[in-house]
Parts: sequence; structure tokens; C-alpha cells
Amino acid sequence: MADALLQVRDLRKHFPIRRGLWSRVAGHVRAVDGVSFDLMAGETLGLVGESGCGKTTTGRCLLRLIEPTSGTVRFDGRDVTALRPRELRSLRREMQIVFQDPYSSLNPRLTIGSMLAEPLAIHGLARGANARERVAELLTLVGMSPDHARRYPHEFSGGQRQRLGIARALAVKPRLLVLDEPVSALDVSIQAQIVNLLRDLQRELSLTYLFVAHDLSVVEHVSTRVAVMYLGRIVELAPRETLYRDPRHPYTRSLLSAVPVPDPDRRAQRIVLTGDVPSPAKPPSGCRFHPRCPLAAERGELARCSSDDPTLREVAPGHWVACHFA
Amino acid sequence: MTEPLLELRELKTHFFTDDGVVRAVDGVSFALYAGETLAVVGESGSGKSVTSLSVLRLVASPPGRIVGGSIRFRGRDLLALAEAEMRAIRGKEISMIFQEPMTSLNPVYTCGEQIMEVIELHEGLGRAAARVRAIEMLRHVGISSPEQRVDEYPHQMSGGMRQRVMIAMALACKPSVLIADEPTTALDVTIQAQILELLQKLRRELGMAVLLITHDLGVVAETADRVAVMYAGQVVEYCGVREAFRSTRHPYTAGLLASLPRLGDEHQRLRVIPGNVPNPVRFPAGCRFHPRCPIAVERCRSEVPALRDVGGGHLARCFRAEEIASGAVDPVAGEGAPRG
Amino acid sequence: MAGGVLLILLYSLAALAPFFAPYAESDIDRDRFFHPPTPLHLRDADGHWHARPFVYGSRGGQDQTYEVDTSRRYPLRWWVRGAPYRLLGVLPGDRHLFGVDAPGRIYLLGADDAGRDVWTRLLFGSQVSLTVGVVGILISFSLGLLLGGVSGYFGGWVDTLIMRGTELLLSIPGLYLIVALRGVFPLDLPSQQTYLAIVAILAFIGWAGLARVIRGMVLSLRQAEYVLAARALGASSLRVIVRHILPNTMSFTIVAATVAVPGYILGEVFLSFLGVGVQPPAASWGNMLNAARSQRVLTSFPWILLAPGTAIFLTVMAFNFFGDGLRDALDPRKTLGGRG
Repeated sequence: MADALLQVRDLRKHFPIRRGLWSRVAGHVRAVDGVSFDLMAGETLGLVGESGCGKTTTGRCLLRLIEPTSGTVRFDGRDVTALRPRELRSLRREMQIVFQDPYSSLNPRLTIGSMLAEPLAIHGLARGANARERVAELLTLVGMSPDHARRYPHEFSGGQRQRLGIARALAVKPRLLVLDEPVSALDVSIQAQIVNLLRDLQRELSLTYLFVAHDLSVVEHVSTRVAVMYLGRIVELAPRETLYRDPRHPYTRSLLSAVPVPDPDRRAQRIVLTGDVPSPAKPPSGCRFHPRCPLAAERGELARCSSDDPTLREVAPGHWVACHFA
Repeated sequence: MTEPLLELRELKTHFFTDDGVVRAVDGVSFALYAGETLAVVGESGSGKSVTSLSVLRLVASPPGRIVGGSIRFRGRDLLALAEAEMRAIRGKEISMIFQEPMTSLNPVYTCGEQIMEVIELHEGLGRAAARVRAIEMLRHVGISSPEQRVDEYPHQMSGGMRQRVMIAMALACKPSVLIADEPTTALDVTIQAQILELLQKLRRELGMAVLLITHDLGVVAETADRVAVMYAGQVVEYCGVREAFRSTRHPYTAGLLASLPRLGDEHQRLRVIPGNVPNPVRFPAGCRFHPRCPIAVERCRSEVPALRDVGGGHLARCFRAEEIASGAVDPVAGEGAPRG
Repeated sequence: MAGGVLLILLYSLAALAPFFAPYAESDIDRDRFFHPPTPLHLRDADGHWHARPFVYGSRGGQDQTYEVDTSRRYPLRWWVRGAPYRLLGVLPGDRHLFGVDAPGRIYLLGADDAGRDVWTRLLFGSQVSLTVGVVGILISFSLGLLLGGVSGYFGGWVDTLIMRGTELLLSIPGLYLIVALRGVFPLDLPSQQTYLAIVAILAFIGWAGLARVIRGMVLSLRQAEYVLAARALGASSLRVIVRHILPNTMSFTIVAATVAVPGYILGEVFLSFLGVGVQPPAASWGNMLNAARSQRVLTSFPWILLAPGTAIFLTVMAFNFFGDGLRDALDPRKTLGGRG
């Protein structure tokens, strides 16, 4: 596809589990285990899943904040995974990340001004008065006052800190932002402010977003397309309306039905999954979802699902599902 | 209705810190009736967790202190009880489960031992009998093969399992009130669904009342019978769950509902409550919500609105509740905007 | 902050020792071995009052016993000329804060086995004892910060190497190690070089514990999201360590350093007490204690023990109080009571 700003192919990250006196490698946590997707310029791809599904690791591997074990990531045609340190630095002007926790993502010892000026200095973009001007501009961009540059992070509330985290990411004028659970730690009324800000910025600066989150309602609200992850893999990827109206993967269906709806007259008919998410160190054989899958049991196909690993295939234009019964 | 099981009147819990007096809970009143689920909703800093801790008199002191009001349980004022009498109530009459299943179980004891401790303490059962009861409780909360699980340590269990053990522990003595403080916030949605379902089932079976502390309006809509919305240390609205979602009489509740992204919503800008939650050391004068309120008038800046009945037992702390009810003013969009 | 005030006082006295001491460091008086302290009087034996304090002369008797000679009065004089010195090694001078006219002698804290003024020795000794701690800490903490930082940030075999090194150091009992390392240097070094040797030994032993703690902190800070953010922005490793990681360990480091100083002071005392540290005639608190080993000294001339003993005690206490105070002052997480 010509338009893909970012192409991810068969990305894997296996963390070694070390045990014992000599730190012997006793196994691997397959945090990300074969993830592929394209990210189109200007779109927002929502990446959802429960804790431990590998969505955060995926986001960090794209920026090589975590070195992927294998697979390729191409940004605008360049292979990110093959870049040398110097080239990597120039890439970092194009791809940035916003973190979940507004309390740990800002260095408590730096003023807001010096925090925002740092990326400018690293990349030689602006100095002295120019840098101060750019800092003021960034603060205004995220809805803060230029006077805030002299203050320290602890003087701000969670929502304001998240704005500052966004401003830092925007300092180098990137084209792609990885948003790693950007509103999960915020209160409801503040979440809405940040979601709106992100949408305004996307339009104004023509940004491309990878929106990593576990909250399906927020993801639906912001995304163009949505990918659902389970145990290190994408199990379903589709345009937003399709995924929410016509989910094909049984995991997506139960995930959607589990979301509590804020409407007392629509108490949902739930597909309550039994059991817990298996450990990514010992993923189940065959389809990874089969031990919890209501469909496999219902259709009496447990034998097939527990031995035959379904591939992610296109069941309708743009709608990819990894299930034998899609 | 009959006599309430638990009734809070003008409860005030303040924290005396170096930075000033934090009025975390500042005049909270509500009642909990037998068998119902009352959801206390609010954002961080609204005082909802401190309220629940105050009921069991578990607020860390210093710096915290209950400085006023009353908490009546079955007609007795809990604030007037001696510490020993209070201990007999905790875990036996009123139990509590917490948000963090990782830290609320003691890692050096098995799950069984922790459940048995509560039973031995309050029911005077011997170890063998207590163990039988503990296994029965674990089965009750949906833990498979409880005979083995009873001897496992918390770290051998997943987050959802641990929360089930917490619930088993809290319900071991069949209390009449369960306080659940954000019981599902730390859990994934599919696990949250399991736990909420379990809580509802147990409430029906045991006939207990649940005081559910949460920030998640979805959870409220699915589980609560009545709702108390808290803002800045006070209850601003208190009504049935349907009224709260269908015909709110307070602009804060209205703003919260409007700011929610909903499944199946159109792709549009979210409505926003401007500004931030006020600093609990210096609450604004007058109505505490007025600086963020789209329909605040002159009176709201100076006069403190009371929590009053605005019709049919629906309580709201707003001067303009009647205007909101009649549709004369839109509590989200503000003055002059057509209601829609 | 009483500890801080006391420390400032102690270090000022050490820096200006020649001025506050009435005599030179090793001013021997063969007629006055073990002379007891000479009290200051305002009223003489005849009952007359004097505006200026004075001391009495004395006559030597058998076995270092002295008899007060009330017929000779030596008034205390301020700002007297005496032994020439160079203040802080540069400023020449011969004025002393106080003194008495010869042939009288003032022994505020008595005299030692060579008739030297203990007060004078204490002041000169503090120059060694107090600076050994600070210089030693500076060196060993620079080492500890650097090695701990590198170890934690880069991990891998670098980390393994450094950590095994620290374990080796920490596994040998400290005092044996001090003595063994002292063996590396010749015993009869000039006092200046002995001083340097002691600092080197103490610093060599001290860095290991700190390096381990710093490594642990760096390991956790390396995962902090603001460190990831800095890396995502393209910052170099050096920049990340110096600007984002080490500053956040500083409040801990400063407190740890303050609390560690007494260990270094005691290390010097220990070496000098064993007679392998600073050698007389140069003074240090350790070799002053060394002179107080025999039973005769302890029973008959207790000031020989009490003067350096009290000085060491006060210094160690002052550092500990100061460290506690710093810990409170530097703690950025002053909690604002209460959640939700």
C-alpha cells in the first residue's frame, strides 16, 4: 500500500525469564508474538486488549525503546529495526510517544521550560530566545499558559501534566505519535478534555496516531480503525464501525459485551468469559483463545482449535480476523 | 421504606496536614437500606474513599480525624462506640473490600488462613470448622477446586482470583453491609464483568446491602439501585439510578454523563467539564461547583446550596434544580442553548 | 537542625584552630605532665572579686600531682600574641583568642602525658578527624555514584563485574580490611601522607555499599517514563544519566553521605588508636584516645579520655541529627492526606 506511513511485519518481542544462581534462561515471555499491521498517514489506529496482551510492548518496540526480537518496522519506507544509533536519532524527530502515567512521565527535577527545551537542544532545532519562544508556542498549543514554563511538574494536576507530556512529544514536530494509554489514569471529566485536545492536534498538525488503550469506549471514540490484541497477537483488525457493529472474533465479542454501559435501561446481555488470561510464558497450543472460547466449545471444535492455529485472514475488505469460524 | 440499615448525617472527616486542613469529607449524608446497592460516585479527590473508610473508622489518624456528624448502624452511633465494640462490627456486621487485590491480601499467609482468621475471630469456631467454612466460602465465590486453592498463597493467584478471595474473606461472617471500594478498577474488563456478576449474585443470596464506591458510571448503571454523586467532599445529588441517568437535577452529574464516550456513539467532540477539581484545602466559596458550572448565577458564588428534595425523594444540591427539571435551562451546554 | 548548627560550630573551630588554641599544636611543657584542668576564677582566695577571670599557678609534687598556688594569679588575656601560625595554611598570624602571661599556663581541659594542652590538641586534632570524613565521603561517593550509575544503566556484564566487586569488598569485615589495607602503606610515613593514606583506605572501603544502592535506584529510575521519554526524544546515554537519572537520586545520596560521615571519622579514630594512623606529635582524636589506654591514666587523669571521647560523641550525634533533618527536608513526597 502506498499510503502506509508505518508498516509492521511479524514483530516479536520475547523477554527471557532468568532463574537461579547463574541467571539461566528458563523460558521466554512471548509479550509480542507475530504482530503485523499498517498505519496509514493521518489515521488513528486503536490498539486494544487487556493487561499483558502486549499492546504497550508493541508501541515501545515501534520506537525501539525496547529492542524487538525479530520482525520489521518500516517508517516511510525506512527499516527502523536496522537503523544505527545516529540514524535512529533522526528518526526520533518523526515518531514520538505519550505515556500513561502523568505522574511518572515528567522528570520532577526539571522545570516545564527546560523539559520542553531539551528536545530542541538535542536536535539543534532552537536555542536561547528562539527556544523560549517555541516553548511558549508549545504550551499554548496544548491549552496551557506560557507562564507555566517556570514551574515544576508537581504544581500541576494530572490532566495538566498529560498536556505537558503531549507538548514534549510535539516539540520535535513528529509525524507519528504513539499514545500509550494517554487517558487511562485520568478522571472522567479530564479524560474528555484530553481526548478532544488530541483530536484537535491531529487535525491541526496532520498527525498519525497509534492509540494504545484498554478502554473500548474511548478507542471507539477516537479511532479510524481498531486492532484487538490477545496474548501477543492481533486477533481482529477492522475499520471502527465494522469492528463495533459486526465483531467476528469471539474474544472481541466478549470484550465488547463486558464493557459496562452507562445506561440503567440497557443492562447488557453479557458473554462472561470463564477463567483468566493464560500466562504469555506458556501460551495455549493452537488458537490461543481456545481454553476460554465459548464458540469452540459450542461448536464442538475444541480438538481443531487446540491444535490448529488460525491465521489472521481478510474475511471482508479491510476486516481481518484470526478465527476458524469468522 | 423502613428504617435505614446505615445512615450518615453531615459526616465530616478532615486531614490536618502541613499544607492546611484538607476537608476530604465535608458534610456527607446518605442512607443505605437493607438489600440494596447504593453507588457512591465521584472523581479522585471527591472524598468517596475517605467516606467509606470513615464508616469503619479506619481513617489514618493522624493526620485524619472525623470531626463531625454521625454514622448510625442499626440505630447505634458508630462514632460513639469504644474501639473494642467497633472491632466486633468490622468484618462481622460491616465488611470491606478494596481496590488493589495485590496489596490487600497478606503475602505471607495462605488464602485459607486469612479467611479462617476472620471466622475464628468473630464466630469463635475451631480451626477445623473454620477451614471447612473457608473452603465453602471459596466455592461460593466461584473458585474452582477450593480444597486445593485454600492452601495457596496470594502470589500464586491472578488478580481476579485474589479479588474473589477478598470477597470470600469479607463475606465469611455473612455481614449485613458490604463496602466495596473500587472493587474492579484494577481489573480487566472481562474479569470486571465476572466480579460484578458475582457481587450481584451474592447480594441476592445473602440479602446484604452493598455500598459501592466507584468512578465508573458504567458500573453504576449496571449494578446500583440508588446513586450518591460526590463532588468536593459533599454529596451533590442523591437519587434512584434511573433518575440519575435519565433526569439528573445537578449540572455536575449532567456534565459527567455528557463527557463519557459511549459505545455506539457518533464520532464527535466530547462534551467537557472545563477546569480542574478544586484543591480540598481551599474550596471555592458558595457552591463548590460554581467555577466549573455552565449555568452558575450570581447567587451560586456567595451562597451555599443545601442538599434538598427537589421532588419525589430526589435530592440535589443546586439552586437551579427546578429549572433543570422543567427544561428551562440546559445543565451541560449552559445558558440560552436549546435543550437537546 | 540543632545538628547542623553544632556541625557549623565544630568545623569553624577546626578551620580556625590555631587562633582558638592558646598554644601551638605540640608545645611541650616538661614540668607539667598530666597537669589537671585549671579552672577559671573570678573570686580569689581572699574573697576579692576580679573583673577579669584568672587562673592560679601550681607547684609540682610527687607522681604528677600538682598543688594549686593561690599566691600567683594569672589573669586571662584576650587577643594575645603567642606562637606564630598560618591560618588555613595561608594567612600568617600570631594572635590567639586568649592566653595567660608566662610562666603561668592555662589548661582548660588539662594537659597530656607530654604537658601539652588538651584543648589545643583537640582543636588541631579536629582538623584531621573532621576532614577525613568529608574528604573520604566525597571520594567514595563520587566512585559510588559513577560505578553504581554505570552498573544500573548499562546492566549486562559491566553490572555483573562491578557488583561482584562490591560483594567482595562488603564480605570482608570492615575493621580487618582497614588494618590490612593500612599494611599496604609504610608505617613511618610523614603525617601528611599518613592522612592521605587513611582517606584513601576509607574511601576505598566506603564506595561499595553506596554503589549497590545507587544501582538499585538507577535500575528503577531507568524504567521511569520520563527517562523513556528522554530516550524517545533522542537523548544520549550520558545525557539521560546525568540529567534525568542521577539528579533524582540526589536527595537520597546527600542524606546517605551525611549519615555515613561518622563511620569515616570512627575509621580514622580506630586506625590512630591502634597506633597506625596519624602519629604524634601531630594530633588527631584517635591518637589522643590512644594515650588514654592505661588504667593509671583512666583513674588518675580522666580528662585524657573524656575530652576526645566527648568530641567524637558530639560529632557523630550531630551528623546523625543533621542527616535525619535533611531526610525530612528533602523528601519531595510530602503526602496530602487522603485519596478519592
